[in-house]
Amino acid sequence: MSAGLLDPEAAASAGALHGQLASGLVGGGLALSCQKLVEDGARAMILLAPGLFRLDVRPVEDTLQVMTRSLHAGEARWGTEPAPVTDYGKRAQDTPEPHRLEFSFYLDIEPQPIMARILLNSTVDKDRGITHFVAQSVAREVAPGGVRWQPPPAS
Amino acid sequence: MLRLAMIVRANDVEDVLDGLVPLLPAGVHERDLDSERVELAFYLPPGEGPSRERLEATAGKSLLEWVAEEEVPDDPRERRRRYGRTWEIDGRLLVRGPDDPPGEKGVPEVVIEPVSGAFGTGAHPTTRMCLQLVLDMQPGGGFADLGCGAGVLAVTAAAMGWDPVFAIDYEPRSVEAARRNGRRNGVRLEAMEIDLSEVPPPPAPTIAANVPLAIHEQIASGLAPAVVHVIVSGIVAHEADPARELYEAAGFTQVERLGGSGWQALLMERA
Repeated sequence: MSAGLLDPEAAASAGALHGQLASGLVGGGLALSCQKLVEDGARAMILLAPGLFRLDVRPVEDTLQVMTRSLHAGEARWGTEPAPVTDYGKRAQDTPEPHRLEFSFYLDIEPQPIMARILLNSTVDKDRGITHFVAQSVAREVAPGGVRWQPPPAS
Repeated sequence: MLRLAMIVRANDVEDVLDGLVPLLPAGVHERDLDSERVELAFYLPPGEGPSRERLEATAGKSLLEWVAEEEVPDDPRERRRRYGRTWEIDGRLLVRGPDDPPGEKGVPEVVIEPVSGAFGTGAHPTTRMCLQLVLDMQPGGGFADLGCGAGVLAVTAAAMGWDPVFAIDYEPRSVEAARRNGRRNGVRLEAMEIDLSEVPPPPAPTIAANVPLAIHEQIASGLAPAVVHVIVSGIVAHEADPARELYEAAGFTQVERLGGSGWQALLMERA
């Protein structure tokens, strides 16, 4: 059953240490939001949907690694939007917008698959060697065979 | 602020991180000590964070030892100066900052002054993989460091005997940093501001390109016949095969591949 996987109380509790907010959505679903400062070189968790996924970030110099973890035994697929708005690592004064990445997560379970959209925004302070991350996710059940969002291709 | 660090088996590091990262909101700093051991360090205010017992239980049998707990500055810049600036490459080269103490006698070293946030200081895994590949090569002829950042590859190549050495970046402050680091290390290199998405690289026999995959597309399509070796890095694991294919299409074959912390580096040779 997928209902327990979208429980906002469980998600709020699991992510409380990281300041993660979780709430339910009208019509069913789970919204997550988390922000934090991460030092250059550190790998830190930025979103946790218990039983579904975890998202970690690691900024190193002018690169950003995003590590995705599927936390369900069912078949899960991740997708990434092809092009970020800007390159990670550029200073705010060199870019029109903060760096942004968009991911999708699809969990193929019965009776209804779950799909999540994840947004990750970041702003770098190179002089201090820290990055400010803001991550948000919306997860919902989708109809089998008739999803509202197209599942991403297997990676 | 306290610094705690545990040394774990390299083969188990991803599993240990999976357990540790959710327990430590400020994150975990990972550093390869050698091929079998990785140091995982984290900073905590005194009296805060999970207990040592919980951390040990999380690491389980992968934990080899604890590093002595240290009091460290609250300012992350100060901590980086203390812990993040010295890198030993296979016991054959030491890369350090100008304020860091010299290494052991007999190990050649390059001193790299970082420029705020610029790549190419040795702090990034891809830079260290490139250095490993450079150290394995026989110096000779020209060398071009594409996306040079602070210039550690160009400085190392010049010190090893490649000549002429070009350090190329599209960021003016990186070009200036590479130029300064060349002078600091007493080597001759030519630092140039070039946008590789618009201009092909110089026809040096050896090229090191520690750049994103999109820039590799540009480089691979514009390689001069004089180019014999290309160090291909700046790519994550799932980009390694597409990058290899780009250079294979340009007439190169892969002769070595290194990986670690999710990143990869390839040595390509003209077939």
